[in-house]
Amino acid sequence: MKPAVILVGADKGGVGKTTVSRALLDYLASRNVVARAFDTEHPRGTLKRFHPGQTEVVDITSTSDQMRIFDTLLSAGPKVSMIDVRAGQLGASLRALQEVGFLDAVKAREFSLVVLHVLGPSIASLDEIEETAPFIGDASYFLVKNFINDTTFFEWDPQTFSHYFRKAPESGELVVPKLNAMAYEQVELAGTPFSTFVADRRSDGSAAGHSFVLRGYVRTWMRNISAEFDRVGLPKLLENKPSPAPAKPEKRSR
Amino acid sequence: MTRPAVFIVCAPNPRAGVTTTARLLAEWRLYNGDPVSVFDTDPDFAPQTRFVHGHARTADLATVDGQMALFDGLLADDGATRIADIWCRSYRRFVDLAGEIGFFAEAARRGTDTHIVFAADGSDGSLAEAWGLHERFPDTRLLIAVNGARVPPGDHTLGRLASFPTTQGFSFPALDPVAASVLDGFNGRLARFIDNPPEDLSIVVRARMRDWVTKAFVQFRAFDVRRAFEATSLLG
Repeated sequence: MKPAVILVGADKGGVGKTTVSRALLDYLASRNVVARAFDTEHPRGTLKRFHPGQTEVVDITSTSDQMRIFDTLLSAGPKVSMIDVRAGQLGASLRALQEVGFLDAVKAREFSLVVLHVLGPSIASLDEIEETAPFIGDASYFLVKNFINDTTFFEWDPQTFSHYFRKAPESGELVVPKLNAMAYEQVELAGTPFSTFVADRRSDGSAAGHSFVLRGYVRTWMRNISAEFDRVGLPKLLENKPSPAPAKPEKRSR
Repeated sequence: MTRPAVFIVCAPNPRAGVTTTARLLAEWRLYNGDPVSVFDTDPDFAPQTRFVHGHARTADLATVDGQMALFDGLLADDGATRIADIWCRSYRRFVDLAGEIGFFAEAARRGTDTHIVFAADGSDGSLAEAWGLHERFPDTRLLIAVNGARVPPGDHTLGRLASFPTTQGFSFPALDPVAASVLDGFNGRLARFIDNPPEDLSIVVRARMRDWVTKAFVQFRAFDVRRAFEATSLLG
């Protein structure tokens, strides 16, 4: 397996970017894919709170931290590096990847790059897509509609869609379904990965005593997200193997 | 002491005898001195909180708090027999939630002896729903409760009941209307009421109620004996 980088970004805060990152780390673990994560919410690091063992907080605009990430892609044990990009920094991060030559290496198929762009409800997201489009020609690019916080999305205009995604052959759409608010809140309070919460464990491995109902909601939600990642063939994309064209997402109740 | 179990008493249609069945099951356990916890999903009237006062609580499935009260309560390993009274308006939500969160699989994983007691009313919808439950939760024992006051006797009805996915369960004869109204209006422990009835209660009504309760308790006793034998090892 070639080293792969997954960028998870959004043009604005509060659209569930870190939630998607957390779900993705759980998904990769469930598929026995060893991953490391970089949290660019420097210096706070929300992702690190939930996945402390595999997350480093970095400033992706600093050269030293860029070296920590990209110079170790080949030597690091985990072959998948996930970067949770600070809100509004997706375009700048991709530009930085271009400047350090990473995008050329992706074009040469030395590395795989998957970009998950978590959408906000406003038209500003389309502007962000236009900003990122020039950098993602060789990446697998996905728009993530995150319904976890009851976001309402604008309807896609087909012409606008084709205009923005003409340059991204692997572009597709991922849908993150809504999670029961109380269940989500309990996971937040627990401060553990979703999978740990479902297993009724604390971060130290001891029994937590969480509600079975809330764990059930989270388990079902994780199953639906995993089905989405499977639908778009994410494991194959990380291996840089051609994946069958992703099917349209099923209409989900919100 | 009777081995603790979980009984989900439910029906999609109103007046099928869910409350009566759940009440009788709880009364049987209390009559034997066994601990019992009853969960009433009717948030407005919650009749079980009056019938088995001190042993019942309300669980409104329209709220997450109520869902936690019910499902987490049913899975609690506290040594009590747990009985859920799923009234018709909570039925669909209960079935969907139980499926979504994997309730019956979790109960099986914990070794909980779980039974769905489906209050049948002899209608086409009732029959279809019973089969739907059986197909959705095939590993959970399904029992049929037939309330004689709701299911008129007759060949047609008997034929319909024979088409249900199981013939195991309970059959409660119709209670005399006068005795039934006394029963419905009495808030308290049934066995105690029959042993020490109010002085102004007709001896005829008292006899009919005793007979009716006895017929129910005999069936529960037989069911408990059967469970006890099922739990034994033939080779051990």
